[in-house]
Amino acid sequence: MQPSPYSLPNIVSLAANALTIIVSLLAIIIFLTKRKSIATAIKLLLNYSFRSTFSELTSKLDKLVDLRSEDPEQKKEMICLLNDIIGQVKGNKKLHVACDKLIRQFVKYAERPDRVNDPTTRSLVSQLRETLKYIDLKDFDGILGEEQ
Amino acid sequence: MSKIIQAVNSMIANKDKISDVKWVEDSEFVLFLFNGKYKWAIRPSGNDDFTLFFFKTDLSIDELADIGSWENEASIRYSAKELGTKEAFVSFRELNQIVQEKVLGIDAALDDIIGKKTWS
Repeated sequence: MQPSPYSLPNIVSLAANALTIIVSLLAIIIFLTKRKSIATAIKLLLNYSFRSTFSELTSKLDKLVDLRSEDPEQKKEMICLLNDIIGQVKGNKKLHVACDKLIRQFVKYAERPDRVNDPTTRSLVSQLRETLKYIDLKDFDGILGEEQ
Repeated sequence: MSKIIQAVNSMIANKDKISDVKWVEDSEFVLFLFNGKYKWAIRPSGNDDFTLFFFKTDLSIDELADIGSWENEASIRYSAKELGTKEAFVSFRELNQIVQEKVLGIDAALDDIIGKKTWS
C-alpha cells in the first residue's frame, strides 16, 4: 500500500525543508544588506585577538626594562623574556612582517648572553614599542573602515 | 619614530665619551659634550621626570653655560614624562646620574678608589 503524501513524516519533512529555505534566504538577505556590519564584527573579533597579543607584548617589554643585567638571575630572566618576545612576534604573521628587521636584531642580541646589557636592551625595547604603536594606529584606521 | 631613547642609551653605553660637563649657574642643568661634538644638557624636573636638551649650535659648552637662556639657540627639548615609556624614565635617570657623577668629580674619585687610571 502506497503511503499517503499527507502522512505525518512527510508533513514534518516538508515543513523542515521549507524552514531551511526560509532561513537560508534570510541569511542571504542579511549577508547582502548587512555585509559591512558583519565584516566589521569579524574585524573587531580579529582585532581583539591582536590586541591581547599586543598587550601581552607590552607587559613583557615593561618587565624587560625592570630587569638588571648585572644580576645573573635577572639576566637569565632577560634572555628568557627576549626569546619569549621573539617567539611571540614570529608566531604572528602580521607582527612578523612589520617587525622583521627588528626581530632579527633581537635574535642576534639574545644569541650572545655575554653581550646583553641594560642600555642596549632599553634601546631595542624602545624600537619595538614604537613599531607596535605604529601597527596599533594602522589597526585602528582599519576598524574605522579605511583601507589598511 | 623617535630615536631619542636609542641615542640616550648609546651615550650611557659609551659614557667614557661624555666630556666637558659643566653646571649652569642658577639652574639645575648640567651641560655636556658627547663624542667631542654633540652638545646636550640634562636636569631633573620633579616627580621622577627629566628634561634633556640637544643643541645644534656653534656655541661652546662654556658659552652655552654663560648665556643661561637657550630660547634663541637651535635646540630640541625632550622630557621623560612626555615620552611616557618606562624605558624613557629609566634611561633619562641613568644618563642624569652619569652626568651628575662626572660634574661632581665622583666618577674620577670612584675610578681612583677602584684603581682605574682614566683621569689625567
